[in-house]
Amino acid sequence: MSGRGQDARARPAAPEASSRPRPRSKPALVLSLPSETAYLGLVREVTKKMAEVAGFTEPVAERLSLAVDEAATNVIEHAYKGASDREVELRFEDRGPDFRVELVDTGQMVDPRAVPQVDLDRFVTERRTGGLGMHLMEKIMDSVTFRRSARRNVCALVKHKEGEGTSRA
Amino acid sequence: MSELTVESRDVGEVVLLYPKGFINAHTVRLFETALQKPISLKRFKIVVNCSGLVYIASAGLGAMMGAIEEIRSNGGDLRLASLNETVQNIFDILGFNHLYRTYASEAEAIASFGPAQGAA
Repeated sequence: MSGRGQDARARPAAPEASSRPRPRSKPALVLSLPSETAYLGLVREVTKKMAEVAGFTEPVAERLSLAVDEAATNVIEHAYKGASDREVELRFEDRGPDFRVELVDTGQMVDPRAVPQVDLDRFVTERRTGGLGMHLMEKIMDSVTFRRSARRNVCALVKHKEGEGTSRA
Repeated sequence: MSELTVESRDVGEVVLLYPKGFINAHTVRLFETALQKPISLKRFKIVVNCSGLVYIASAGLGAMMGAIEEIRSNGGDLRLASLNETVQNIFDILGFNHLYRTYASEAEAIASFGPAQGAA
């Protein structure tokens, strides 16, 4: 973590700010995977590793990997409807204050907001589990957004480091 | 690469399941099969020992949900023991603590089914 000369243009620290340097963005890691659930284990491993490198503790990193697992599962099962010959792109970015993971697919546009709200009482009686994954993603991450761009679906998951990066969720 | 294994053993009337690894959309079939086996044998007192479970995604939670109605309607229950921090956190997030009884240890989970189960 040396080479602070490049950061000379950064805003001077406020008088009461700690001497801790402002986290810097790093180049993204981009991973392209076949749309098969067999690769979810790899998604988990890579996410966990990237989250730990970004400074998150292991339990938080494990939860982040679960959120990305759920997002990738959504792509495979809904956008690609289970087709295993498509491609899922994952983009991991340590943006300094934020850890960001984007999942990009060229499948069918799925409106995640159409997923019904989680209703635990109905889970048991109706065996309806739709929405659980989405609910988990939203609870684990600070932000979950979806956009459609150039016939690609982009799901962006963001976790702020502030406050939680080095402590329990 | 084995991402999930599920061993089982019996203690009295209680069937213990030991998932080791993680349960997600890829591995859930194995977990489901393990869960259905005691049910098909009319054994409805089931404890899932989660000490080897790294995490459980919604697919796995769905598998438990799919089995719980039949288990309870036959006088049994599906109880969980030794959840790690991640799995406990997932349960907290989803409010699953209201749906499933969880115990700090396997022995407590077994004992919760009554004294007839004998020593673990």
